[in-house]
Amino acid sequence: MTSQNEVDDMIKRIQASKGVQGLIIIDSDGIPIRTSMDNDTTLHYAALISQLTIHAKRVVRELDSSQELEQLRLRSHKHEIIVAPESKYIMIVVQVPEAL
Amino acid sequence: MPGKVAEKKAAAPTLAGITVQRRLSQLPRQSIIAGFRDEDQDLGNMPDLLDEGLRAVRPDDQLKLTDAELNEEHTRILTARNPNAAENIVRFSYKERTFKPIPQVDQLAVHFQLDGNLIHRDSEEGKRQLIRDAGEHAAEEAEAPVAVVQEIAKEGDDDDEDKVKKPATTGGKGKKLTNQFNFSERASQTYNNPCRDRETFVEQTPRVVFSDNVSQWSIFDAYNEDFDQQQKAKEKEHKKIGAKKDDERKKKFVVTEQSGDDMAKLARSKSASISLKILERMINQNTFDDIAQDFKYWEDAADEYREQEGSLLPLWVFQYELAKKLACTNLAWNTFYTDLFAVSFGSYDFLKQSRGMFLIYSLKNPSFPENIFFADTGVMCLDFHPNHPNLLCSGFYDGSVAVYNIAEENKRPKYQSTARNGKHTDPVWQVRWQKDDLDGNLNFYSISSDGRIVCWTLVKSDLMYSDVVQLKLEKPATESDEGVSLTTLGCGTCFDFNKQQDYLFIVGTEEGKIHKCSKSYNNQYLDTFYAHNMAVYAVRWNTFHSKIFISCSADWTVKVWDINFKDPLFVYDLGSAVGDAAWAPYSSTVFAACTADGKVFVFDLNVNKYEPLAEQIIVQKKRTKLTHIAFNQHFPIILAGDDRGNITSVKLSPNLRKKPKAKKGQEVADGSEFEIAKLDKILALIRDPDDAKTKPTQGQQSTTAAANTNSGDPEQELTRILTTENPHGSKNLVMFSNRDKQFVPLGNLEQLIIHYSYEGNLIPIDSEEAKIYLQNEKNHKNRILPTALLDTYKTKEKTSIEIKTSNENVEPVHQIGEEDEQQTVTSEITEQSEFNELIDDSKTILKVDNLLSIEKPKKLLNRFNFCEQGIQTYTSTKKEVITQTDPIIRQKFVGLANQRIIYQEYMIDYEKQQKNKDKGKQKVSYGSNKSVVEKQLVKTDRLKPETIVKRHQVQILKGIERVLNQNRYQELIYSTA
Repeated sequence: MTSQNEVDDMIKRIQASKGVQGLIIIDSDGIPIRTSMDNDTTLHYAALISQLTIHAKRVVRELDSSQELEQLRLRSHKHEIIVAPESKYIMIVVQVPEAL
Repeated sequence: MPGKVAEKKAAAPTLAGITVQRRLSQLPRQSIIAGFRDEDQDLGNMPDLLDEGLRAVRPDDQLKLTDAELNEEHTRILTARNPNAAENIVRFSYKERTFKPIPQVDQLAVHFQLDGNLIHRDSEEGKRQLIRDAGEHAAEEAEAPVAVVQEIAKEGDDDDEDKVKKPATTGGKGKKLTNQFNFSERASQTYNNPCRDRETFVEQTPRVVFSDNVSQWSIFDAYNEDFDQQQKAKEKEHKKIGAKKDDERKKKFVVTEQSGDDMAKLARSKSASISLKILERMINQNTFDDIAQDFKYWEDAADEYREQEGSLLPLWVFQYELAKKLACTNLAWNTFYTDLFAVSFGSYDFLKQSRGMFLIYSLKNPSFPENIFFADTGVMCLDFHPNHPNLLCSGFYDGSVAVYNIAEENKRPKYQSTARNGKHTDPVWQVRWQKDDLDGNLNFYSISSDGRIVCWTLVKSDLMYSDVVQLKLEKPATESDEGVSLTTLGCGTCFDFNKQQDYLFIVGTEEGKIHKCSKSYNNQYLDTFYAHNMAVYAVRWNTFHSKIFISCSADWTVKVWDINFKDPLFVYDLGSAVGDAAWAPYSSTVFAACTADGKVFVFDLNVNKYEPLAEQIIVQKKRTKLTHIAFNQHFPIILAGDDRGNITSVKLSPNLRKKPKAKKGQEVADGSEFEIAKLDKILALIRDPDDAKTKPTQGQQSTTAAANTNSGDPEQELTRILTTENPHGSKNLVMFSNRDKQFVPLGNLEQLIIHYSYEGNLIPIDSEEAKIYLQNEKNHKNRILPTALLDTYKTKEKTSIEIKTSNENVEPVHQIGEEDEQQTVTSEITEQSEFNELIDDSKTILKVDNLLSIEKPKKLLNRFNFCEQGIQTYTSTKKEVITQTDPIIRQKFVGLANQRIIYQEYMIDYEKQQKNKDKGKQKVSYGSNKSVVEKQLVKTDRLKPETIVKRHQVQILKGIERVLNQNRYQELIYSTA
């Protein structure tokens, strides 16, 4: 069992990583638990990504029922959205990959 | 019969009497009419009544029936059948599995039902009532009938009297039953309870619209979850029965679980930290994408052109904030997870001893260690167990050793030596796991500068120790014995166990000697090498060859030894203290060393015995000392640790890990035998007992020989056949055919390779440029034109000018040419000449010239100009051609449109328009001098790869390719550690 500190540290580290614009953690209902972005953006991301994740999960499961969605990476023109879904929480990171 | 008639007559008056009586009762209402009627006895005369109002009203639509019809008798037969009952009621019989009609239908129809309240007088109830009523109401009952009788008596006649008297007589008897017609019920009215409405407002129950899709797997998941929870609940119950302690702990656990918000819950779930870890790795993959690509794919292209040199490409640098001021004291790759390694941190400075730590890093996450273990004193060495990748033994500066299980969450050592059980008294410089002993216990060895080499055995929960060797300092022969001879202890700094004979090991000491020892002989060296002038920092057996080992020292040298020879086989002076040296795992002849001036050296004895193949400074800051080096077992990378807490990983270029080319006819042998043979071959050259003089020459010969073999066999003949086939074009290209619904091989592959292309410099003949040019031509007829083609047709220059004029004439002819619809493209040339004929007879001579020169193209500036004209004439023919095309398939297209898509469409369209405009502009300025030059530039530009890259689709394809490449690298990230 990891301590809360450790997880906090990890979150801080991720936020401090190069090119990371923000990190959002939402629960399975799409309610943000923790965010480093402003309210509007967070809500926007939370609503859209949670929907997308559910769909993606379904896609993976429908194709092969023994599979599980592990990662979702959306590479767009400006940035990359990395989504790590797990049973109860969804973690979203927005990163500008080429940021120097 | 007469009797019957008489009866009838008798009956009639009585009937009339009754009617009269009935009418009398209605008197109060129709008193006036009643007066009339009393006299009028005959009922049959009713229609004859004078009074109109009393006549029966006959509705207009009433049927008028004749008497016969009126008298007609209708017979009705009453049956017990209910006409309304359904006859075809069926019921499903489960026995016979069919619908069966029900034979008996209920025929009873109840039209009216009234339950009376009469009681039989002989019944119990009746008797009781009689008794009761007799007493109480006797008087009343007696009076009431009398009153009635009197009333009726006044109005009625004699007949009536008898009737009325009857009840009076019965009343008199006192046997009166309550009679519903003649009995008035007494009741008392009570107050009605007033109705009152009472209203309260409640909060509306919240309604939520919930929608979800359900699929099999989601149901399955839900079931599984539930099942797991049930299992857990069961286990809990089991535990409850168990120890009390457990119970208490559980209570605590429950309490902690209840407290805290969502975030705390998140933190507590284990999968959260795993996902976060993956997230971090992904982010790092993005940030270090270029390095990751290099790690996987970069091969130094320069290596192909140099024989005996290689290079090191720096990859990730591993840094950790808390380890910055500490020196890397050891590096160890995990034996199972190829991307995992451990680094120990401490300090080599005697005066600056402080805390220590060791970190477990993964290549997947260069920015932060996977695990961190802190120690109070400097950690000087560590080693991963070869069979248990989670077990790690370490030695500390204070002389203790410990064993950690790195997979465990609590970061305490599993075993630790204390002062009571054989702790070293000086820093432990090296630890090394050994094969399990005869009892199957894990054991490892440690060496310390207190001169002891100790074998530690893990027995259950204890760490048992046994001294293997006690190093002693030999008394220098030059010193004379003075007083009591003290046995001074030797200081071991490093050791290594032979890979084949596991009892055999070598020990490096601080005074520069290397001892060959055996586990079975305590306190006795099998052999001693006077190897170095200063402390030996590392000794390592060769990966393949069981007799060869390497040593490095603070005296700037690296030496390669044969265990059976007292003298070193190779000596290299690296110009600075050598912190570490290591053999490569892939080759018996390659080793690397790192020095205190920040350099890494890589040698390959097979290629060059005298010089390193690569010598490179890899530290970022000056005055940083490299302390340790380690080869990865799988990847061609080296880790180098320095004294500022950084670990640098470098990739070996292809030359540094090249296998020697096999000679013709010889199979490329693989494996350890081959490697041993390779090293032996080199050693044979060195060991050649002739003498030292011949060595260098031999060495040179061998190197040149090596170079020869490397550069390929000169005898081999190469034949080249030129074909039109493109050797680079792939031959098995397939394309999915939507028509055939399968993959179809592409037949005509593009075999054209453009090695060089040159855009022509055509100029329209009317342009200014051409005119000037033509002018020049006229003036200098003998000038040789730049176009090589002109050479052959130089003589035709004159005619070509004339043709030009004729060409101009052709244009008006187009209209005339329309008549001639049969003309074909192939005949256009002759056609053209015919036009000329038509137009201008005066030019017939010219035309003859023209015809003559038809065979040889009429060249002006270029021959293509001619063709263009032909096309023009062709287009001028107006031929109505009707072709039947397939009807355009109309398809319904359904798509989602949103603002963004519409915007994009507009943008694409707009860009197209812009492009068209630009093109138009270019065309307009086509003829001018400058633009020709410009255009040439533009055209040649098109062939440059940069221009190709800019094309949109290519870009997309490249993007996909990149992603694929990245995914290939993904194995690093997803193979779970």
